[in-house]
Amino acid sequence: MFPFAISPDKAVEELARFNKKLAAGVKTFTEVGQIESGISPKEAVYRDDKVTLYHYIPRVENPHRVPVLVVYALVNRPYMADIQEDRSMIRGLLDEGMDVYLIDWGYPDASDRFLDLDDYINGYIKRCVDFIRDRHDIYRVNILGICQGGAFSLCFTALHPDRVRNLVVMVTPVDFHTPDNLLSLWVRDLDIDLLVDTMGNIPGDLLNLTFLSMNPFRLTGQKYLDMVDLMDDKVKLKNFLRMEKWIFDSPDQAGEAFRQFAKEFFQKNGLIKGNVKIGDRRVDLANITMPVLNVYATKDHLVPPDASKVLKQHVGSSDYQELAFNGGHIGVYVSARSQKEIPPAIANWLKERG
Amino acid sequence: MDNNPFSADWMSGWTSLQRKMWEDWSEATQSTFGNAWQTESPLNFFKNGMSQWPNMFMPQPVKSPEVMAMRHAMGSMEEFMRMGREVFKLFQKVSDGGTMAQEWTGQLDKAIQQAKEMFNQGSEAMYGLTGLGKVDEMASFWSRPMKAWNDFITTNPAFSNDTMRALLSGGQATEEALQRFLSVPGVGYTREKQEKVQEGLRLALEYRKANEDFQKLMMETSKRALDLLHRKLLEMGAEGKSLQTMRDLYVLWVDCNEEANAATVAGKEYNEINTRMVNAMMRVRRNMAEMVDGTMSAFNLPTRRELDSAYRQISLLKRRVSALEEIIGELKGRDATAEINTLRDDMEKLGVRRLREELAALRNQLEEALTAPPAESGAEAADKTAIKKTVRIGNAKPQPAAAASAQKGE
Repeated sequence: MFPFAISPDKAVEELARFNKKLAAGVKTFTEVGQIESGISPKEAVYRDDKVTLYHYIPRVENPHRVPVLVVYALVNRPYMADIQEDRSMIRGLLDEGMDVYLIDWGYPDASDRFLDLDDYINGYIKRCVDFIRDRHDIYRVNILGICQGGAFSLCFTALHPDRVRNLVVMVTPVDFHTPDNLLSLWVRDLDIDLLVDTMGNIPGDLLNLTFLSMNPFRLTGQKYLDMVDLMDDKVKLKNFLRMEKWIFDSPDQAGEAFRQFAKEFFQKNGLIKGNVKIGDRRVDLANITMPVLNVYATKDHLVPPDASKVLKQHVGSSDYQELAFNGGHIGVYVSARSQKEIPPAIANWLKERG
Repeated sequence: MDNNPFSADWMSGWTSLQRKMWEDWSEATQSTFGNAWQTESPLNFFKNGMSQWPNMFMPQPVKSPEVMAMRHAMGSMEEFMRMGREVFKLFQKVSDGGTMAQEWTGQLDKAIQQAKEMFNQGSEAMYGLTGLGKVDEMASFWSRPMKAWNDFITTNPAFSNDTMRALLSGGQATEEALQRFLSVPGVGYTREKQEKVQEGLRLALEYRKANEDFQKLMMETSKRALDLLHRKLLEMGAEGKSLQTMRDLYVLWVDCNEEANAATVAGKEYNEINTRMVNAMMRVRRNMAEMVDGTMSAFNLPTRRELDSAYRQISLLKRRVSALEEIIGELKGRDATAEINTLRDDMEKLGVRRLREELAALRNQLEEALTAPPAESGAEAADKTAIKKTVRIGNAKPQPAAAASAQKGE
């Protein structure tokens, strides 16, 4: 049987209909208005170079007494965790009574080229944590690290266990050499020193291209045809554009920090081998003795589940739990299902532990 | 419109639909932007394809998500339309033969084979990768998903720029000329500069070779995607299934490309070639930067090297300031009472109390000795008196003998 039930007139009609939709959608485009970066009200409470510590306005009268500090990755911007009203992990945590802080790394420029992981972890993160400790008059805070921010949180907690009460990591790579880790495979033999010495800071566009290489045809073609279908709906179009803005809102990476992360974590797999040194101290995951919740996504193509789950074997905590989300790396924050599952699970886990 | 699926008359229906679409389009653009966006006639609009759309968004900030999304949408739409055109051609051929039902598999084989032949012409011909795009028009819809991706890469400022694209252009003749230049030894005052330029060209050739290898691999991937599509269509035919819309076909084709791409990028060959290409590109860029630095330095202008040096110094100073601030913070926040108590403890540990007690015990012993029965010479008595006086200067109270003994036993 001929596998095309597409007669020319049907096809012409389909294309014309499609084009008409596009033409009508132009008007919707002009009416969408400003695309916000994050939707939950927040205030900047501390600044350190280009880094800003935000405090989200609590949504309950008496929030949980131990605040949660969200540590996001250097890649892309942290408003992914607060992208729209009905798709916000931050809002979910606030609704569950959490008191939430978030580190915004800003946009490094050429003058930040020599920032290294010591500056980020023992500098910015530590000072943000200390600021929160002073502000709330507490000894230890809860930390929620996301993706690369999760790896940073692991390092910070291992180096400063006295400052962390509970640690939550989400879609966080720990073993960088699992066979299904494409990113790691691509980076493995690159001359990182040459790359950083040549480029200085690593352009965000270059990283974007790398991520897009995983599904290039869907992400640079099909996705935009699909967009035409929702162009007559202002709300849906705006939501699409929010995501679009986030995807291409990629700060450059401070050169030295990138060099260290690419070489020590990706190439040498130093985090699980205990070889990573931040400043003059070695990161030993066994120092993480406080409760740990590890949230991973079962269909994560950037951080495969096995790359995260291995954490269990390396931390020194006797209170270690995993939460598997049936979805992908981005879906874990923004899918409708994740809104119902992830923030309540994290909040309850934290509340149970004081 | 003629409803005969594969007659040549379908073009008239297509034209009337185009006209209708043009009217819709005019209405939409006029209501949104006024008359400024009108093109001269529907014919021009279709002649120019979708290129009018991105221009419409030019006045807005270039990187706003609306503009970027709309531009990508326009690009995808254009590819989709072209795909439609090519599919019509395929249908037309099948229809003209009048053997659609019987020989469609043969026609499909032929179409796939022709598409593969196009991929054999190389990336420059297929995608206009170098920006020349000299035979871009001949590329059919088969290359469309890959072209969209290539456009993405070549317009990415981080990955490519005019200089890097220029390095990729040129054919065999250029390469031979370059090789001849490279073999000229450097002499005289400009020797160093010549060697630097020669090194740059050598690196550029390496990069071009690596890029060609990369493109070849991607071409092979596209051919594998064609094979996949071929296989899936045959399977659908065998199972009595069919594609209902152009969109279905587009999605199937994208799926095939993704499947082929996933297999390629997970392989060792891709990793080796991609790594070689990126490393080669970085060597070229570094060489360029060094030459630019040399020129800037000759004009007594700041160089990248000097700026980096300054930034490094600033970073080091910042770290030192942070360390000092931390120390100051610790000093400010320290509890003085606790410090005093600690010092007291330290003093105690040094044994001051014990020394005092020992001293007191010695005094007691002396007191006892002085109160013992006198069986001594005049000189000894004078000495004891002197000791007694000395001890009393210390203002120590005499202690009973029992207490002194107890202290000794500590």
